Amino acid sequence: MSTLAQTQPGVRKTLWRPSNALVTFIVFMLPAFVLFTTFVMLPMIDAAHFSLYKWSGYGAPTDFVGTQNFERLASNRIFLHSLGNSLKIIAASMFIQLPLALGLALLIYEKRWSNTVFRLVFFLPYILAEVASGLIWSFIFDGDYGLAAEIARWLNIENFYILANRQWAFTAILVVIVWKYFGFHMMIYIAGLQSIPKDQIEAITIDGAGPLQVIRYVKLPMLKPAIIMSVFFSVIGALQIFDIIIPLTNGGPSNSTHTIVSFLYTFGLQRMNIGFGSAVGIVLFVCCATFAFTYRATFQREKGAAR
Amino acid sequence: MITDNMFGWRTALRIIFLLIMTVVIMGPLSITVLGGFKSLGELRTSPIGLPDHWVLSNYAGILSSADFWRYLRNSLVISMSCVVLTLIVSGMAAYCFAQLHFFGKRCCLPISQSE
Repeated sequence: MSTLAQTQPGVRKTLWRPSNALVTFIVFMLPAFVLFTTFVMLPMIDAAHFSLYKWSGYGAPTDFVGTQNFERLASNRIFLHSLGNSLKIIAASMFIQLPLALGLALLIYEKRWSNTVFRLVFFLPYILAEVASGLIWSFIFDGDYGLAAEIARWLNIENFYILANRQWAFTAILVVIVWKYFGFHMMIYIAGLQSIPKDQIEAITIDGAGPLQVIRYVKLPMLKPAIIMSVFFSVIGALQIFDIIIPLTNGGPSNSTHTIVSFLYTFGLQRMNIGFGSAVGIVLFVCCATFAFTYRATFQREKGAAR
Repeated sequence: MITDNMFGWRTALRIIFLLIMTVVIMGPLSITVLGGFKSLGELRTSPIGLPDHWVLSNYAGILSSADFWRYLRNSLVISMSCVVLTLIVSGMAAYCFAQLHFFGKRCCLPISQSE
């Protein structure tokens, strides 16, 4: 951190001389650094430490077991299933949620009052608390009293319990996740679309391009930074889904709808296996960090090559 | 865009799609909001649709309970301090990342739009 160079060009040299840069750096960086260290780095190091122990959370961890927690994890069928579920969420958010968000953004990005109303409506689920939306949907899916029961009554079929069905419970959860989070990505795309210069669209329209060609050759290329960002957020967010699972199925039926984080919570915290839970956390962190850095490296190299 | 007929099939399709999405979004939300005006028995027998007679005691009970306002105040305190702290601390850190050059800058940001 000591190799401070001069400030960037464009900043007035008289105000920010190189000697001031160090002072600025220390003063401005210190609060963020202290907070980050206490609340992110230290707990992470603690977790890495605990993951090597068999520990219930009481007293000091003494029962050193080496990598046994990780070995148990690798052979745990429920964990592997929850890993698969997290991958399913990633797939659903990439191939259903993002196209849906993009399509809606293309439909309503223009500044008109009717579009503003739609934008507000589509953004509502994202504002809602995760647990609240989980509860709302658990009422919808309820086969005894909810909307599902009503539909069954209309169609004159036997009551069905989606959330208690091993085959369909996770699909129901995917529906809720898409329902809740597509608005966020839609807003990213709308912001991107609104910043496209109008003359570019006008120019290609004069050249004879139809609406689809405008989307294909102007809007999508211009949206690329927004898409890169929203894919990043959706993957990281998908790996961390937790609050929606708990009110909907609580991981059931027979542990088939756990995600990594709900698995961590159920088998690590609720059953007082802090060591085991920390191992899950470390695995999750490694997944996220690997993804984040590969993703960045991939897309920045592409950016550099394009220049 | 300009030559598009106001009532062309494209516009109609667009509006239908938007309305379907609105129903999908607003359905669960309105069921919840209206459910608050129903008695427990009515909620069990007819979860959708307007309530037969509006029960106000649910919402009135929430709004008049001291607990609710205390929880709301707690949320307010947390969100306000979150906003203020985040703005100050991350604003200051972001200045360093944007204006200064230092060792390890590239590694610290998982995603950066401008280098």
